[in-house]
Amino acid sequence: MFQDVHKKIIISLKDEDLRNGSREATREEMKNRLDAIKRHPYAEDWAKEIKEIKRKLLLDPIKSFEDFKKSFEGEGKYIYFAKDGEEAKKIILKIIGKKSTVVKSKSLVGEEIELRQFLEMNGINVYETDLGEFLVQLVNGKPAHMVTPAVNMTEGRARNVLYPVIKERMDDVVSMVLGVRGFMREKFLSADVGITGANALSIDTGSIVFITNEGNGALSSTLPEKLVVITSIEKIYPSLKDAIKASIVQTVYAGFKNTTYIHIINGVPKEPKNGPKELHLIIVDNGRIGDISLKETLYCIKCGSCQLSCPIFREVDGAWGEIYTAAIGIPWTAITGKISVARDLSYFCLQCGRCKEVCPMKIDIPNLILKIKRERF
Amino acid sequence: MEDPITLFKNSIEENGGFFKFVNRIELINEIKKISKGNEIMFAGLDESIENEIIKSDIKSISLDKMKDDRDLKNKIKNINIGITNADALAAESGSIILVDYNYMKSFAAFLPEIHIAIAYPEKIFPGLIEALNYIINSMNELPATIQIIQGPSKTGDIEKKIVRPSHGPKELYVFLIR
Ligand code: SF4
Repeated sequence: MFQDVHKKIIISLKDEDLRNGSREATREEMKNRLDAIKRHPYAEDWAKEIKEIKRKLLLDPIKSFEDFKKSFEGEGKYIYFAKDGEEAKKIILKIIGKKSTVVKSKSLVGEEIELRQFLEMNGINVYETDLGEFLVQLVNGKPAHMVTPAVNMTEGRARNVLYPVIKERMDDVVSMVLGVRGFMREKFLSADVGITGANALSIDTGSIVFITNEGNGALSSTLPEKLVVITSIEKIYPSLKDAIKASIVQTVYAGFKNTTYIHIINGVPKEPKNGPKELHLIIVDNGRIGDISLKETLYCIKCGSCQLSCPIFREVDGAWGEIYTAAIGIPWTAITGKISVARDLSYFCLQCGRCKEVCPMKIDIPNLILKIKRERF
Repeated sequence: MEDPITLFKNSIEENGGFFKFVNRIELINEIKKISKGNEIMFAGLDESIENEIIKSDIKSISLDKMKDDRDLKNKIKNINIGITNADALAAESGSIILVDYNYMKSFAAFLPEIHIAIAYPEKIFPGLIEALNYIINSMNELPATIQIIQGPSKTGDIEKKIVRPSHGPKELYVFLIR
């Protein structure tokens, strides 16, 4: 209901701490992005290339999936197509089995289908290993932003959230991060399953590409015996080079001059005694293929810059949206969630157009939102 | 146009790593200085470099020799220095590329607090895409994983303040052999 969105926004507007956190984090977004593009000037051309590639592939996403599947298949590798979140979750539960411990890296599709909550309900110990996601998990919340999920949490709030689990004095951000490192290290070493998302898949090599800065993806994809990767159908690219380019464009437009790790997973070792023995890849549709009118949304590489540049997001951050927030979050909500929820959210958009200007894929986000506004009940 | 070695040096330093151009004797001395008598683990090194490490008084274990040990994780979890080769470097982005068939290079690069990568000048390419092209063209069969490392691990998740390390190494060294 429209009133529910309104209420949430009012609550968040009254939360001084949250507003300061959000403003602080978005203050330099433009400078960060421009600096990152200056450092990697080719990113602008790559963005254009990626858009053209996506345009072609999205004409027939099922064929892209079939082509990818053919080159992916191999010993110890399993691939699944899930039409929606329920199906994906059932598949994953069956792979993991009950009573296991999972170390999880960031996956927006995982958030979209509420994977962690579902696994926890089934008695599985899940640790979000990305610091931002871990903070969100500890407060039982949802991510506010695509790339930096705890973007709205101030240092003080983060310390209070971490203290009950880390149980050490943490005077500054450095000691918080180190506390989490120590806590998580044991989990990485003893977990049965690693779960991660993917930035891109490549048809020519059958590879999975994902990026992290923290090294949590490095550990969760190499230490446990089973590796489960969950992603969505619009992330398939013809070649490994395209997949890498798309991943780099995403980080540059997210405002990072440098991303620490790019992981390319092709399979499991032969006769492995260490490293993953099984690789399971779940590709989720969840409304993407069928929706023609909002198809442009699928060009989105989830860099999050449209969110950070949105004047409404800056004031109310994660309160404007469910799983996907602000700007492109509204069409994403329409596709992967309920159209009625997306419509309630859409009315808060001012049609100012800043999001469209910063988007590397030049998606006409205001127009997508307008379409949703006009949608009948 | 800067030469690729200088360009790589500038990039990896900008990303928070250390770089040095060394001969083989200097290399062993550098490793001694960094390891300060502590045990190191290595994977994927050239035989000649491996032998020099073994000959020196550096305490070391070879992960390639231990790859079938089922208790490997426990045996290496407290070793704080890992050394790997680098299969290619990209100058523009300061990238180190590891081609890994059995996860031993990944363990040596990700688990410890310090990762040292050893490379040769002919493996430096201008950009990441060129470096990847070289890797893909030189492989007969795809490795289980290809890891691209562009600095020590970091997080900016609290108020976007950049903090090192996060879950991976705190320090990253690249030694280029003359
Ligand atoms: S719509 Fe564009 S700016 Fe927004 S997250 Fe997607 S790619 Fe980035």
